Amino acid sequence: MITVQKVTKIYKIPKRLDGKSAALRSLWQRAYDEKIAVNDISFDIGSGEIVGYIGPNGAGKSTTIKMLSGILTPTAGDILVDGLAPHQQRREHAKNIGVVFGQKTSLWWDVPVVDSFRLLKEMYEIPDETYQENLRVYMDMLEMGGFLNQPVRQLSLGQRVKADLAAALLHNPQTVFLDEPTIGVDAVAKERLRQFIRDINQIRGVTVLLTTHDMVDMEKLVNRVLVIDAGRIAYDGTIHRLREQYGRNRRLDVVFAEHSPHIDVPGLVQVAAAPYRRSYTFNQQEMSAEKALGLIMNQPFTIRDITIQEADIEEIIRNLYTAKGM
Amino acid sequence: MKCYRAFVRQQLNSLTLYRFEFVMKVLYGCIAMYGVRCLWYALHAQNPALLGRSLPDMITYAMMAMAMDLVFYPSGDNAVYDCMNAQVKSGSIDTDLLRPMGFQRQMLYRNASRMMVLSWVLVLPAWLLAVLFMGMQLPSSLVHLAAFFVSVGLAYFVLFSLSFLLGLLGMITMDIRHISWAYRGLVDLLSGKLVPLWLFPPMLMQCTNLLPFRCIYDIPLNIYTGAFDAAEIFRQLGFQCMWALALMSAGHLLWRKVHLRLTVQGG
Repeated sequence: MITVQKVTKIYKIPKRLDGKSAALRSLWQRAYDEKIAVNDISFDIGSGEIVGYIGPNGAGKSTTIKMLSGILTPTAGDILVDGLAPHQQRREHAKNIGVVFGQKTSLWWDVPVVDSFRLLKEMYEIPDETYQENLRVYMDMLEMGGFLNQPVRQLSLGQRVKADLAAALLHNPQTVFLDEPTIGVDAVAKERLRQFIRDINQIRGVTVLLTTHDMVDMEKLVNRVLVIDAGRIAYDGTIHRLREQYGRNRRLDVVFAEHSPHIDVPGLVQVAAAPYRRSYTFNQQEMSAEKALGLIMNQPFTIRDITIQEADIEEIIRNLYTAKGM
Repeated sequence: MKCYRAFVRQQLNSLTLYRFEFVMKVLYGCIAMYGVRCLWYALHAQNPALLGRSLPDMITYAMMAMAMDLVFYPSGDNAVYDCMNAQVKSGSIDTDLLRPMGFQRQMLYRNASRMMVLSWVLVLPAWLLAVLFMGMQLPSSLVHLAAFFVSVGLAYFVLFSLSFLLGLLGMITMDIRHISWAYRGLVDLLSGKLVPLWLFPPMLMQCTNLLPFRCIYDIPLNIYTGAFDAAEIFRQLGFQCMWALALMSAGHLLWRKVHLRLTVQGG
């Protein structure tokens, strides 16, 4: 479905010349800085997959999305999405994909949401029945009834992202690229957006490539993760394997009956402390959960509560970044 | 065509939000028309032979130029090159490139639909007021009126194409402020908007006869005022067609080059 082969993108950024006639001189007198945004990356995504694409700011995530959607031309390498080369067959390709940039809207600012949808219907040549059916379904799934007739500039961020998501899917694309769709959105709206993304993937079989900094998005939505840093793929695999490789530490939270007891147990590293609480981590490959519990239970303090948690995804990603020197 | 109609509806909904602005612009248009009327009256009083046309024809030409200027003058969202430059700088050009339409066609539809709506709400009332109260003449025949509309359409294509090419230049240089000032000056001077081209020195007039700028004001206004007979109208419309096609093609080819090296700002 999506094939990316040895793709590199180098930005040639024109250096601005100084002086009054700078704009005119820049026509023949050129100086550039080069920045490698994406460096020889390769991956495949199968039909119906939902893949997380993560990495620090400036790692090359958005550049990849823009190349996959035909906005940017790769400097080297090949991209095929559904059998089409995005930058060479941009217009045909655009009919097969939907793209949402969480940080900016693709809708028209001054007019009601539904007017933008009507314009998209004509641009994408969506048949009347498909348009009406999709509008009805998305209005229901994204609870858009209350703001469909409001101008985009009057919408809250969460409403705006919902409208953008619906707009990106009006023409029934088989692949969607979501670039930080939940950024800045409140918890309730986030959950609704996640449910929607899950539904279009599971019910409609839409392939989803999702970039995000929100690790809850990762945990709740994707099975497979691509981690990019400094333009290179640092990890490509399941969240499960990522957890195994970089999430070896488990967390032990203990609530004591007395105030601030000090416990020094080999193998347990204290990571947080509060008047009646202590949190420790331990390497699950070196110490079993049973042994860790035993070490705590053998201490001469009364324990009110005790829980053991897997490493959360944020910690895992932190470990990965540290391990790769990112 | 359905798509273009959707763009027109969109612009109509969007632009009619700012009704007070339109009233002010029509007022500005009327003041500008009255201003040029006074100017040419004064010049005629000094030396009637100076104008090279009858006074009613001259003031009709000048006032109609001001009416057209209400939509043709490249400022704000009317200036295609400014929009393109802002889109690249803000990174919002990527949403245009996600659509299943050519970029040039998308810019054309967006701008042409805006111009069409502005013509209805600005030029038509200003023209009507000028005809009723300032002595502006009607076209000499229905043929001239029809030819004028065709000519204005072609004038728009030439104006759009020049602006689009300038916008592409801005994508390469990332700064077109100074070039756009020079461009606006050239259009104002060489298009016949401010000074009719027949008043230019012969050498300069010969140059302007070859350049595309006269397609924008000089040809439509001469058709409106009845300066051309039928054969000349066809010749001039052909000249506009040639430039419109050449410039649209140049824009299309240059865009393909620019797209290859496009850098969209921001994540």
